[in-house]
Amino acid sequence: MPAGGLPAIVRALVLRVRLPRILAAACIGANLAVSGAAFQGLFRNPLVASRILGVSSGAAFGACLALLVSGSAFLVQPLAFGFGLLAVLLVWTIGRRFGASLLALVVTGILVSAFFDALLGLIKVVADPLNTLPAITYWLLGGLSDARWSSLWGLFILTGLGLSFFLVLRHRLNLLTLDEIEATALGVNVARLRLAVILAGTLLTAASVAVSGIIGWIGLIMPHAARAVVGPDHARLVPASIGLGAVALILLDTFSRTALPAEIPLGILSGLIGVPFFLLLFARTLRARQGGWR
Amino acid sequence: MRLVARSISYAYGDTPALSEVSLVIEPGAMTFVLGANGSGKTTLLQCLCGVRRPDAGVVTLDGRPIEQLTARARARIIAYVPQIHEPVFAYSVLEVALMGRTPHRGALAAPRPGDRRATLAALDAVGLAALRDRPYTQTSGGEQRLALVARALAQGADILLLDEPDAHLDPSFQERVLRRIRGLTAAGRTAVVTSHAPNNALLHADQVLFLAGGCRIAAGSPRAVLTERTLHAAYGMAFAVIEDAAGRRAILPAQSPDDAADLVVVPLAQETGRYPDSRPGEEQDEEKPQTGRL
Repeated sequence: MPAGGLPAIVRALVLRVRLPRILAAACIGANLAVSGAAFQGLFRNPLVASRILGVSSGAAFGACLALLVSGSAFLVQPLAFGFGLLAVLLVWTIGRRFGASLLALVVTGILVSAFFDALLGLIKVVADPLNTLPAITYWLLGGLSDARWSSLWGLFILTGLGLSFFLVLRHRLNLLTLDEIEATALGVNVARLRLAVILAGTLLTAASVAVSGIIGWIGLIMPHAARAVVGPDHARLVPASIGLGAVALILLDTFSRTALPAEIPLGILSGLIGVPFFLLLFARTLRARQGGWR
Repeated sequence: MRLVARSISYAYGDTPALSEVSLVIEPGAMTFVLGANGSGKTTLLQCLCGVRRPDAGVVTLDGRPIEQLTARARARIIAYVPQIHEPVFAYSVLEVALMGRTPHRGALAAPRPGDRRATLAALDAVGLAALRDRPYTQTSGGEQRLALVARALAQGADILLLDEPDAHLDPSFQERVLRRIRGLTAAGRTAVVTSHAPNNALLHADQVLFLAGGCRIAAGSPRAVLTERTLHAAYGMAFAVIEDAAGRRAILPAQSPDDAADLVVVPLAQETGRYPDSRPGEEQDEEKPQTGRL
């Protein structure tokens, strides 16, 4: 690009298009990774990500409802965010009727996700196959091509709040991985800590998914990559997940933008790269027997 | 400090687990709680450390009901060492023991150098100082038990409630773990130990409590409580208490032909009726209800 000849255009391109997109990628990568790490600890299961409580399914339904009703991108973000929160709220309220045990939460999470997926299917069926349906499909595949300053303030604010929460609380997160009785005997209010972590992780995930659509794998893999580097102690794992998540999604987004003439949706790319990466990580863990899990 | 249970009862839903159990835990003593599977040992420990609140009766610490203490204040006095502790993530031995410092610092505070020193001293006290950087998941069962005892010591607790610290260990490690605990009581701490090994109680207990079906059936010094009659009542099987010339006692399952009859739970003649190759004749049908009753 002849940068010397067209400084105004280049400046505009960098400041108005590239910079917000890069910042959004960093925020979303960090958010998904850190909430993935926290949820893996909370559910004592290294194979979950923050979408286990239905936030992604709810957000996807909200976004597609917005595309169906308004046909414009304006409503997509608020509705995706709102329905993402609503889904987790449903899981929490229903799960509490069964004692709010981790098992009850996981089961209701799966059920609520399945319900929103069914509703989403309904929207796809009634959507106009020429305009609305492609828009829905494209949004579901995930991407940052629509990232502009004007649409990102919500993400930036919630990212700031959520990441601060996890950074401040990181010394306490190891306790979350203990048996409930054990943690209670150590003087921890387990129910309150769990609720706070679920709330913060859900806000971060909903804010991210509302902007980028569904991007899988980052939230599952980056905590493992971080554990491979700094070990499982959450005091180090939280900052490491934030850093690695941010870097990974910036790289992934750059690749999705530049690899082919047309942009590759991030959801597809993260799966294409994420799955082999996860296999490698898993093989390495099995060999070493000391990484992320037993 | 003197921990006292006064006539405490606890039920899981409609299933009673403890009924009107009273117990005085002498300071500086090692108290064994014995009883068959499901007799209420673990529930008793969890009531004693305040994690479960008795449906009736009260647990007091120096005369004051423990529910009047905050969870943190309680955790600085009473520590609970669980039976099974299987962390999903491979924390180091030091990181596991460091969790014991939780009630000594604010909810958001990072561990201070003092916390680290106290934890290292606790690891030293149980002989695990050399293993502090080893992943907990890669230590032996006995070392894991000692790491949890170290966590309880790091907690600064005077009263240690240990759920089957001698389970799933080879005889030498059972002895090592119990001797460590015994050393702690000799130095002034108080220990309550549940166990399935009456011989360990004979060797190490200052006082013994026997539970059967959630009720206290005997309590007192080991020699007074561990009698053939009590053992038969507690385990539903005959035992022989033997004594050598030096006055040392041991408990063995009884071997005489009369006693052996007690060991056969289902008579063989009736058991054969259940085999799939036996035709469903009328005779077997008549026998079926009988088998079912057994």
